[in-house]
Amino acid sequence: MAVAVMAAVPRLAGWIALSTLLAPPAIAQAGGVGDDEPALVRAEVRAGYGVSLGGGAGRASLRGSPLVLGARLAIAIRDQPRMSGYGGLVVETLDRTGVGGEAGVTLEPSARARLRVGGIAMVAPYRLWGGAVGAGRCWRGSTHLCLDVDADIFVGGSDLPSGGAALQILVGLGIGFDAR
Amino acid sequence: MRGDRRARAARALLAAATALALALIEGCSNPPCIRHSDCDPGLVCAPTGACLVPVDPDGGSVAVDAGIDAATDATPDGPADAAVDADGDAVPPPILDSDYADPIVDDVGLPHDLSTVTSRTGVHR
Repeated sequence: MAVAVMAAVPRLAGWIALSTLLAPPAIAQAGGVGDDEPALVRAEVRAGYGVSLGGGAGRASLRGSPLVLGARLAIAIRDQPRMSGYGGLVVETLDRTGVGGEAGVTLEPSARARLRVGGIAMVAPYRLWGGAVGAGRCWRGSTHLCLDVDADIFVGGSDLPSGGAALQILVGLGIGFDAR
Repeated sequence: MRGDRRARAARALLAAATALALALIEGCSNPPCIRHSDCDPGLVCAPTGACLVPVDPDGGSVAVDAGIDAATDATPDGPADAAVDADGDAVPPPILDSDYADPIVDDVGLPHDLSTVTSRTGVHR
C-alpha cells in the first residue's frame, strides 16, 4: 500500500506541474466570475519555492526549500469581509518526495489582496506538521494569477530532529479559477 | 505623494527580493540539513545540521549499509568519521572493529537519542 502511494506521488507532482502550465486556456474555456461577483468556490494550483530555516543545538541553519506544489479548493464562508475556508493537497519535490495536506481560512480585505492562516501537515513518507500564514496579491480576470509570500512553521513530526523546528519562507505563484 | 509611496514600496520590495536571493545563494552553497528528509536516504539530520548515520542503541547493528562500513572501520580516516555528542560538540570517534559483538552504546560514549551516531557521511545536495 505504502509502496503504491509512493510510486504515485511523483506522477501526482507531475500532473500538478502540468496543470499549472495548462491551466490558463482550460480555465478560460470554463468561464470565470468577474470582480463584481465573487464566486462561491475557487480552485487553485500553485507552486512555491524559497528558503528553509531551522534551529537546534544553539545554532540556526539556512538552505533552499523543497519545491512545494499544491492544489487547493476554497469555499466562501462569509461575504463582508470576504472570507473563505480552504483545503488541499501539498507535494514537496525537487530533492525529495513527500505528500500531505493543508487547511485554513483566507481573508480578502480587498479585491486583490488576500491573507491566509491555517495548518499544514506532510504525511508520507515522513510526517511533519505545523502552521502556515501567507499574504498575497491576485490579478483577476476569467482566471486568477496570484503571487503570495507564505511562511510554513513546522514544529513537530518524524522529519524534524529532536527538539528542532523548521520555517519555510516561500514565494508562490498560483493560478486559479472561480466556479459558481 | 502617491508616487513617493509607490517608489518606497518598490524599493522595499526590491530590497526584500535581494535579501531573499542572497539568503538563497548562501543557503544553497553549503546547505546544512534542517529536516531528516534533507539528507540522503538512511541518514538522519543531527541538531548540528550534519547528516549522520544512525545506530541502533540496543543491538548495535547499524541501520544502513553505509553505516556498516563506518562501524567496522577500525582506523577512522579523518574528520569525516568524527561524531557529535548530545550538545553538538565534536567527540573522538569510537574505536570499533569487526569483532564488535557486544555493542553497549554507552561503553563507546555515544548517547541514546537522535545523536546516537558513528559517522558523518555528508549532506544531501
